[in-house]
Amino acid sequence: MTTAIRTLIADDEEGPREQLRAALQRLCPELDIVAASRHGVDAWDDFLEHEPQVCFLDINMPGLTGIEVARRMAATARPPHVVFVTAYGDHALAAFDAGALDYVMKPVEDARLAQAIERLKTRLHQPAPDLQALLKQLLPMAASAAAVPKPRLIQASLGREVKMIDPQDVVYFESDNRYTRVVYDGGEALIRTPLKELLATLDADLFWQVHRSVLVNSRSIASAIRVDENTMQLTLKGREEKLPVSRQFQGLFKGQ
Amino acid sequence: MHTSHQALPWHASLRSDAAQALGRVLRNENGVCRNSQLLGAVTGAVSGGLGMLAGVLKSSGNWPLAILASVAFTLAFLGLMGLAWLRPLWFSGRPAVALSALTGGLAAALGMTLGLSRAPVGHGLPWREQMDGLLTAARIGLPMPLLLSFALLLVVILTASQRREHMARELALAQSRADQEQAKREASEARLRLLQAQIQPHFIFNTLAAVQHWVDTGDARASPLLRQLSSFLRGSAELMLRPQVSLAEELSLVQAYLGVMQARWGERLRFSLDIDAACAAAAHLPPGIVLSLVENALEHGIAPTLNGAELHLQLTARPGGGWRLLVEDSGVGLAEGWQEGLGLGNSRARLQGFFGERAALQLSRREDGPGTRVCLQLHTGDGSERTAEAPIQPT
Repeated sequence: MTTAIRTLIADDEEGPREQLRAALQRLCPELDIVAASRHGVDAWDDFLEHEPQVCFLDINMPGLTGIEVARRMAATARPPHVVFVTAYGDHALAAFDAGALDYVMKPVEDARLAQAIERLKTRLHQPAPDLQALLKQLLPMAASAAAVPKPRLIQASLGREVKMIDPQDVVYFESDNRYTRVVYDGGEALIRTPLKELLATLDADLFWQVHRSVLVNSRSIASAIRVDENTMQLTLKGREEKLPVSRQFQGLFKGQ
Repeated sequence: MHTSHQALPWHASLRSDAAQALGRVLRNENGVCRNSQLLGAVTGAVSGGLGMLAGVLKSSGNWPLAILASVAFTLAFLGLMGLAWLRPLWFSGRPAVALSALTGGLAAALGMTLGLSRAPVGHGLPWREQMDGLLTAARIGLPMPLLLSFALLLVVILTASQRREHMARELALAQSRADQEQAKREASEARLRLLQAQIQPHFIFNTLAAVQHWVDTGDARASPLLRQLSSFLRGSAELMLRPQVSLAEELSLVQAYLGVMQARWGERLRFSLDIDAACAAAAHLPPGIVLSLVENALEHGIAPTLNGAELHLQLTARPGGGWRLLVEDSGVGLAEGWQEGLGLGNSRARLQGFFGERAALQLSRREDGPGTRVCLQLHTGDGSERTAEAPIQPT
């Protein structure tokens, strides 16, 4: 018996999302749908939490587009196999026929979906291909409904004061599910925005996510220390605390 | 025309133009006016030729010479007139001055030669008498050739200038026709773009996916969504074909659209409408503009939000005449350094074409909260008088 295949689906509209879920369950009961995300930001966060092996992603989603989510996924230690779900065929999709990625159109048709599932199953036994380059190409083609990251000031209320913090001054963000700690040159503050929403609006080249609940300013990193096989820690410039790097993100720190 | 389209050498293009002109004459295409010009030219040429014949015959008694001179004159005259007709620019402005000078010079030379042959001047005479002799010769010989040549020149230049005016008029006419065609084409293109935007696959297939799912699961939401979708598609096809629609019709299309989007997005789209019905029924404008403003608000303002936002539409009559339409959303708002896209540019152009300076379309950040505010105003009147006097009516 095949073990359950952890699957994530993401679509910003309820109709298509539920339609896909119903079709997947009908065609391939081994697929264990661990998350049905409502937008790109949730899709990314759900991926970090559940570590699915297969992801069906709508391309046009708010927060992060399907392609942006796929890029981040592809950069982690265990990238999933991705199938894009799209409303119409684009000539860009010819890129998919390279076989590295797959796509289905919505409303999903059983025959086509079954085909995609078959392809997935055969590929599951191989590591996921390196999609970074391909995804970079596709990025501009996603007519993105996602907001353009605005480098705006972070507003943190502290009693009667509202502190205006420039992201550039932030050393790292750390969050639990309700609040996010903003540690910056000059102090600390708490904001209500969950980390997953923050990271969609910040410059991904400056702020690296190294853990599901940690976002660090890459310029503040002094070094990454491997403690043992599974654990890695970051030391920061001019500060004493150490930040954990989860397994998924350890690939970010490789010697050259 | 001066230069032919295919960049033929000048003699080839001249020949081809001449052939065309002759063909038109023979087929009697251009009516009495042009043919009478031709008639005039031919008459002039022939009578001139006959005159030349008589004259030369009388003065020299030499038949072959007389016939030669007469035929030469006739052909030369016809040729010159033809050239003036086909290539008027060669006989205008500076070329005309040069031609006159040349003709004058040649005629004078000819005249002096003739005069001197009749009244020769002896070389041995003192200079004053030589001068007298020359003057006499000039008096005898110059008048006729000069008169003749300048008369000819005048006729040719007049023909050329008349032809030039005619060509300029035709050009202006063609230009204004081209402008009208262009305007018609632009209007059609705008309509096509709008129709395409309405039928954009993203919209259609996402909606159908929702319908499909709800049909499969027996969800009661399927039926009203399908109804809204049909109503929207039918409405947009109908309205887009007309040059103008009432605001009431446009807004009912907008409502069908919002109905579809709300069914799809659920709680993520909340909207409210505050419409002065009398004002909406009386006001007119090109179709699709208000719809595209609402689409923008949804696509660029509300869709990118994670948790949805509100949309508010308000139509009020202006106290001094005219109306004001507000489309406000509480979405992500205009980005820093945001620039207008093609759709807005097209809407502005269509509004300008319909209302001139009386309509204004403004986008701004909302004052009390995030989001965008779009204000479309008409300053006086309700636009209905435009139907009678609109200069360009795309059909």
